[in-house]
Amino acid sequence: MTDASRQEVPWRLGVITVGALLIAVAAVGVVGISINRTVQNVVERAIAFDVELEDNADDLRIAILDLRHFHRNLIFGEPLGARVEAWEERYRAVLAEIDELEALIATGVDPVGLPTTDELRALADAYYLGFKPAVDAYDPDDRTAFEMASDTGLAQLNTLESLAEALDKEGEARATEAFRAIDDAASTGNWILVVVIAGLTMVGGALGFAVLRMIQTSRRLVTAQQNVSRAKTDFIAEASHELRTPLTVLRGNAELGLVVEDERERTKILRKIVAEAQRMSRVVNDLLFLTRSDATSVPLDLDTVDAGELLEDVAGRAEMLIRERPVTLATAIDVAGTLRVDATRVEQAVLIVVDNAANYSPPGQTVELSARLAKDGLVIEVSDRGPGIPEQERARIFERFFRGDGQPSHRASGAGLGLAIARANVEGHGGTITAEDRPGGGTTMRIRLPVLTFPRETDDAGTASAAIPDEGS
Amino acid sequence: MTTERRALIVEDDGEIADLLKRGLTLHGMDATVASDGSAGLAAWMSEPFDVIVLDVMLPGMDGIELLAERRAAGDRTPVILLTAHDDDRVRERGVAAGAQAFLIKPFAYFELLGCLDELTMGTTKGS
Repeated sequence: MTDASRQEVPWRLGVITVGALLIAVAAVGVVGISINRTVQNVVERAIAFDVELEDNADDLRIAILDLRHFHRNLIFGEPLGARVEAWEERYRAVLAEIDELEALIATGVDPVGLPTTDELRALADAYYLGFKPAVDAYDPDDRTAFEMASDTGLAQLNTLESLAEALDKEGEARATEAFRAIDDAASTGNWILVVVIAGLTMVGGALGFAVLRMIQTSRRLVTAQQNVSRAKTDFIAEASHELRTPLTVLRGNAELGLVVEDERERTKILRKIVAEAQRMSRVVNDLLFLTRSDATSVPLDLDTVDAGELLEDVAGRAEMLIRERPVTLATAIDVAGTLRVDATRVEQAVLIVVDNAANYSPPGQTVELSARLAKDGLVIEVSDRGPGIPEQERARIFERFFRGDGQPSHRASGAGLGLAIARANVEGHGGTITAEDRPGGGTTMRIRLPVLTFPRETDDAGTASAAIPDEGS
Repeated sequence: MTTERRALIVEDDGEIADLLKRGLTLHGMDATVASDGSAGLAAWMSEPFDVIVLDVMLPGMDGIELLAERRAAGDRTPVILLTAHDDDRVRERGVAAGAQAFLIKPFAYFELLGCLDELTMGTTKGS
């Protein structure tokens, strides 16, 4: 289950990152469009204020200065004929500029703080209407009235000019403001883009990571699948090999039985066939057990059992097993507490290890079976004085069909499934099985099983405290 | 056949070795059993045999190595290889090493006899 959820993570991560990427792309689009609009608006407004307002105000000022210039021409020369016409033309130019300004303001320029065009036009009109009669009534012999009207007109022109200047200044100020806004919008846009790019980089990184994880996971799955299928092929090849040997004995004996005429000889052959069939069915059972413990976990019939009783039982059976061999068994069982185990499977595992030890022990030697409680659980040890297991084979002895080089005969060591079955049993209980060199020669096999409850201190102070020694004591 | 043909059986599985010995004896042959590669080599070199029945999977030196060693030494004694591996590679190795016949377990008794007779045809002890 945990494997499955671990495999799903990269997919989920991938979907999330792709979603995030799409959202990020959409966000970038929206942000981009809005920044673009802002900048466009700001630029448009700036152009309206700067180029149009400032230009118009400038033009107006120039027109006013022109008008003043032609006004002066009227004063220093004679206000007659073509000179008056030129002056009037300049006056009309001023009016035209005012009209233009009015049109510009009407297009949407904020008029607050600006001199109104009405004001400008009124001033211009007042100037013209005040000075024109004096021009028309010009008398070269008495210039007093003309010059007085001229002075008034010039003062009015100055006022008009200062208004135009104010307009010009306002336009300039607004343009500066607008350019600052453009700058602001642009730099805000830059920051947002930087953040978006950073975000996209992160999303891209996450996506890359997810893809890598997916590739790794699928590679691991493929490798695991290949290993499983290779192991399965190997297992089938080995299993068929294991079955061919007893089959050869069965077939050969049966065929011999057909040609043998002596009745006693035939009975002997039939006995051999029966014995071999029994051996073969044991191999078949072992193979089936291992195949099942592969497909699921070991099928266990768990029960809460007393550790002491279980181990005493196992020791008793081990003794019976050893009785037919030229070796002796020494047991040292010192356990209490309860275990949650399949007693049959634990017994099977221990007996396999004891049988194994007996097979490797030279005649006359002792196989030792001990059990004790350690902090991390129940420890069962089986020690022999056999030839020992070479370092490089120590891990492999628990593999199916593995037989070391220094093996006793094939028949004595069985199909090479015993230790694999012992390991399946022990690991099915959440325990471990290991082999190590025994000081002074031989091998110690150690089975560790988790303990359900340790004996309570109050039960029996003496044994309880002695029952949980420190590891290695 | 007036003289008993002599066969060497090199087989680590006691039951199969016993079966072969009984079967060959029943067929009128004189069979000697060796239960691993080095014992087989020693037996093969110690006396002449008319045929060798050689298991491939042996502890220590395997049957094909043993055969190759004898062939390298110029020994032409006919050899029947036995194997529980129905595997072409094993068969190829066996033939390359100089085996005359190849039987896959579980073989038929009469198949074995057929092979033995064919390989020992006309041979007599010591010839």
